[in-house]
Amino acid sequence: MKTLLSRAALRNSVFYGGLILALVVALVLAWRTTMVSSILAIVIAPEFVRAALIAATPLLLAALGGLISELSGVLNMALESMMLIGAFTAYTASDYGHSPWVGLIAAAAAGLLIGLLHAFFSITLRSNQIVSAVALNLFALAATALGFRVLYASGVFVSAPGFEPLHIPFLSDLPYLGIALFSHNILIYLALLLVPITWFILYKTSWGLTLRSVGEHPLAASTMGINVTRVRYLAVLLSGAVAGMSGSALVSASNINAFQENLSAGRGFIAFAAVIFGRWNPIGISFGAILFGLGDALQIRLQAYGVGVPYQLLLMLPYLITLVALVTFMRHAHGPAASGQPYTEEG
Amino acid sequence: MSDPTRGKVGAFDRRAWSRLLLGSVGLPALSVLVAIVIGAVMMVLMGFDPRQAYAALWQGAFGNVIQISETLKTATPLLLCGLGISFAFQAGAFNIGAVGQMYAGALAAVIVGGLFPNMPAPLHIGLSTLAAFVAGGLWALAPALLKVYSGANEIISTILLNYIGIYLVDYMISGPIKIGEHRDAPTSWPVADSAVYPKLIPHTQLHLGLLIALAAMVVLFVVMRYTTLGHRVRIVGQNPVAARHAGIRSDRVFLLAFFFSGSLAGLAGASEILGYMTHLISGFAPNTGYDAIAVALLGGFEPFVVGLAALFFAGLQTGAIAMEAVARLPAQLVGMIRVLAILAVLAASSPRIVELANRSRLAKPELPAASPPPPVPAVETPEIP
Repeated sequence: MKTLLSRAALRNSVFYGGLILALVVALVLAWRTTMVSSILAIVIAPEFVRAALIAATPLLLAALGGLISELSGVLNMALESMMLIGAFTAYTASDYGHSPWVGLIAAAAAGLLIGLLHAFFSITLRSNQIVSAVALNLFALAATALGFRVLYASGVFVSAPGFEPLHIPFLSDLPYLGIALFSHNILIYLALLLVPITWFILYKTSWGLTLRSVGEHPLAASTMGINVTRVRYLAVLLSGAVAGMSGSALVSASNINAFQENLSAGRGFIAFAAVIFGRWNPIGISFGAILFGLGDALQIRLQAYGVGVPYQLLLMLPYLITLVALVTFMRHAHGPAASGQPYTEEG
Repeated sequence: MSDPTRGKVGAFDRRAWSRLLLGSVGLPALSVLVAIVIGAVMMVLMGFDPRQAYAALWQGAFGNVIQISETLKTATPLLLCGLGISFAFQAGAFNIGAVGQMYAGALAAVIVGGLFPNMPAPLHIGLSTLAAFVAGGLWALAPALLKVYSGANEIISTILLNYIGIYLVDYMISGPIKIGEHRDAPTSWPVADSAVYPKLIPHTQLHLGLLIALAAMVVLFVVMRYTTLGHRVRIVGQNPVAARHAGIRSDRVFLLAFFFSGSLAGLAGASEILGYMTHLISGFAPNTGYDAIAVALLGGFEPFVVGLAALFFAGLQTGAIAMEAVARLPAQLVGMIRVLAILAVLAASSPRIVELANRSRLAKPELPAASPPPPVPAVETPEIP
């Protein structure tokens, strides 16, 4: 894990990219043999790359959040709730605060609060970390449904102010890359910037070492004078803040900047799978998130172009792809040694 | 976990039973109470009268025969899915896939129920229900096999299979099993009259599904407490290493537990379709499988307590409609009451709290029940972080 991009993660990504293509081609061939060329046209369009990056950003932020928590030894399946609460808060706060930045900060704060709850249950009370996450996911569903109903009772469709696509001089005017890479909103660049930052903090600073030691061998860390509970609390709180921001990215991902019940629709769990896929390495994780984003974007494009495959089957695609990836890569994946185990100093 | 069957199998041990009852019902009841109180505070903060709201809620849930039947009808799939989730949990697995398994069951039920229009009713009902049982079980067996053979996390894979199941149903009802006549929304063909569950009370929608769910509850209780299969499931769930040393093939037990977990959810799907819907529509039960997780959590994964939890959840759900109509409160508020109950029960049953409770109980001297309680010694229990 010392290198920036582990070989295993790279192998995963290459294999996985081929897998998606094979899957799609197989799916399409089953319906219309003549559609292969139109699929190709979709995939090589710059708009496709653009859409994939947009779809990948919420997954990336959530997965980075999940990574921080998991390296400290706390399983974070509450990513889904952090994303959903984050999305709702981002939407309402940017609506009431008239700025997407207010929404982003509020989303991070809301995610942090869910992180606090998750930390309280799984560290202080030593509850089953999965049960805690499941309960928090139900909590997020109920709380956002109630909040949305109370604040937007009229049912009038409100579009909140969102992050506008940037126009970068020169770069945005490049022929293909301009559309694909250089006309995104600021949040997407921030998320991508977070990848090396997270990697640096986790693997190159002493605080990162402390965090990882707590996740690998809490007793040894404790013997070295590290306060395991405190480090884990901090990690889960930070995880919540980052994952909460993914909600803001999710709201901005739809061009209409709107919220609806259960907006996250399982994306938090896909992010959780991306952490495993990327082998607990930030760069690997970002590959995972982008590839899952490709699946999502492809599904939308295929629907729009009408390739003849029933759209309900296309909607399955991101989930099916994640499932295949999970089955393929879980076999040899092993996370932090003490992951999921509550820690007591009594032994 | 206290085991009253220790010693003589099936012997009636009154103390063990009362402990079981207090432990497994007392805690959820207390949590529900806490949730109701917090809910009342929320209502006051939102400017509503909690007494009026709760009265309307009660009336809407249990006010008359029709409302009670409606509540029991709502409780049926919650109970079936909740039992399935509990069974898998006892084997140490988290089945978050009740939604997908329920959809698979409903799909099988509507296919078998819609074909063969001239079959005798008992046979047709039995066959359609069995199809749902098997379909739900197989939908759950897939992630269990993936877990055993490739180590894929069953929580993630069951959730992914939920979405796959939902879209599969959407596809089927807008294509292969579409209804002949025109409908605004995609709808499946109807189930034949011979496959529809008989009603338990005339002029209500209460149907045979409730009896199936109650039977499943009793069977699960007996299996978990009095059979070797139940014993094995518990050992595998609590201590896989010990299970291996005891010569139990954990993989097989795990697969079996997951299959039956899914088949119970499949029965829930059948019960909804064959019981009163008669058509399969898009999003026919979007949240039941998730709510059932909460039901199982609240019930502490104990069959009879899960039954009570399902009744509580169903009562809130049907009552919420009346509450919204009478007291003008948003129906989504009951969703909050439910999750607050879950969080409370989660906190109260956490190792930390149980430890603290045990410690304070041990600090008191054991006394005969008849004598008055002595003054509690003013010794503070040592706090170990």
